[in-house]
Amino acid sequence: MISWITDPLALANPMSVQTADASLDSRLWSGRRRTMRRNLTALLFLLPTFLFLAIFMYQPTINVIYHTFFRWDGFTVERFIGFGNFTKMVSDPNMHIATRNLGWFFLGWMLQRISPFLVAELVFNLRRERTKYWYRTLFVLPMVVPFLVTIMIWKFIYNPLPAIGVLNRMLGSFGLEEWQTAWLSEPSLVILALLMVSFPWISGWPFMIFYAGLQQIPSEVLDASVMDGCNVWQRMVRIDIPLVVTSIQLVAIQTMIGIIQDFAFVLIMTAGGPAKASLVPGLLLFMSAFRGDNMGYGATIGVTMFIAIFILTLLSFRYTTSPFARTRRTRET
Amino acid sequence: MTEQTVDQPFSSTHDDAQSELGTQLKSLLHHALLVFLLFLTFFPFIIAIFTSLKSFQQLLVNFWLPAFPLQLNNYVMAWNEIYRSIINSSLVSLGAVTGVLLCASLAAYAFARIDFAWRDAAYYLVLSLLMIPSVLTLIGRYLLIVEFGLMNSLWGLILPYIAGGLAFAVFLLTGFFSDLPEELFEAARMDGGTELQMYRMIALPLSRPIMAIVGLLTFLSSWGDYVWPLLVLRSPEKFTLMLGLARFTGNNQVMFGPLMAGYVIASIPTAIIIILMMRTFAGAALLGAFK
Repeated sequence: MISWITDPLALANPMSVQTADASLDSRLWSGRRRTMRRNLTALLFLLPTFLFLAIFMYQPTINVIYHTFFRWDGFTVERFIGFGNFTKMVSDPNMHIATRNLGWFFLGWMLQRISPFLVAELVFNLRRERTKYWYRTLFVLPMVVPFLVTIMIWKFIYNPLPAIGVLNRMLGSFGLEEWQTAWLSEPSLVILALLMVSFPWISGWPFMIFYAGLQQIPSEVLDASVMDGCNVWQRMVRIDIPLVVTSIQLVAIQTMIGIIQDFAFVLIMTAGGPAKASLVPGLLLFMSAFRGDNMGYGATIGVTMFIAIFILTLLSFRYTTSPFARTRRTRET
Repeated sequence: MTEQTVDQPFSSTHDDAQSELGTQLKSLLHHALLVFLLFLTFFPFIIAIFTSLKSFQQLLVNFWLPAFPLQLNNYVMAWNEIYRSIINSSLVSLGAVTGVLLCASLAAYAFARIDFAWRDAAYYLVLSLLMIPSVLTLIGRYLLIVEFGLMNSLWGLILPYIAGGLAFAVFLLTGFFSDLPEELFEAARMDGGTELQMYRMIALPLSRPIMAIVGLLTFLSSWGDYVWPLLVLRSPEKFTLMLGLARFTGNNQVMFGPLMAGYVIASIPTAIIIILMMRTFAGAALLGAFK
């Protein structure tokens, strides 16, 4: 992946040809002028992009980081308070609740995103290519529905009315009326209910990535495993998982970043309720910055989340090296 | 790989009929499990479609199956409620896609094909933005929009969306442009072609599939966004589709038919775009090895 980032610059370098041209020219000033012109052309090509990035990416980022040190309602900077926002955050009971909830969401969503691997295996182990194709297509088909619409349909599923909510109605028709409840207003249930949204969690890009990963396994390896009398389970644990570990890591990293920062889901489903039972740090940022006039505090939460994401990403990249090495050895032997 | 998967169940168990039966039973269970999972996956959407065709009374009486007569009027009501926001969302998404494709392809061309001073540094400056989560810039961007007087304006969505999509687009397109064969550009250079001409005549026509993918990703992310429009837009006639749907949901405690009809309508544009893309050139590349 990394080499793919750097390679284009090295590969597509027309410089070698051009410098040869210039030396033929032997007149230094004309070569210099050509370089100047090339730089100018590149500048013009890059100008729109960097204009956008400077205004809407770099400036806001720096602005936000700067203002974490102030008490600030977004329009008038009141005063410099040093690390006051950070100390406030560390002792803020809301932040404690939000962090604890995030821990649960983190665990649940991680399992959710990794679990499609088992389904990918189920489909991959079918015999006929045609059947595989149909299962694969059908499993990813619900992805055409915008995520928000899926969420809203699940809100309908969790509707508290016994006659309307799909889940409550289902319990009713099984004679389990006493289990009917307001799923999203029950502090002890709300996180579990949110985690169950879009059960069985197959339709999505993790499934696609896992399946693609399984397809990348060299067929000789699979053939050899059959020769050696490996059963499906052994093959999955000993061959498939070590060989697609990069796909799993990719999904895990993406999930991690997503979980920490996305709060639209919780905002729509419960808005953090009932009584902060499903509050997450992103939502706390949103609430304090845009609903509570404390931009400086919101900015502080944002910066903290950024640091957390950054460290977690670095850590997971660190751990990618060892499975890589193991994979390579497996493939050689 | 194909041979292997076909052979595997037969290779050792061909001999006696009993294990043949066992294999069949196993394969039956295998399919049953997959079909059950498919059913669970589709269940909410099927219920939503059924509900979208029922009146409230029909829903109470017959919850699980379609009820007749079908209430097509639900769709008319839903359409009247959200058509305005569909137009707004289309404008925003098209604006974002156009902006991202135009700026990113120009920049990527420069990174991949022009040898200029500080090229690596500039490239990494763009790539570093991939690390910045959108929550971090949320507050800063909001203040900018306020300052620029773009509150409650669709431009307040389009411009940040362009900026937000650029880093990844530049990353993808630079990779693609630099894989184009150098001979093409060399020939054009011999004929005295300028960089702009080469960009327009060579790079752009050859990169349609990847441009389609970048366009699709930008479209989907701007179409499905909720938080940013919630901050920027104030008046309901400016609302994007997701805001419109959320408002429709909030205003509506009993009319589940029209509500679900609205959800179905809201899914149609993305469904059409994704299916069209899968069927045409971009499909293969979009799904990569996943064909």
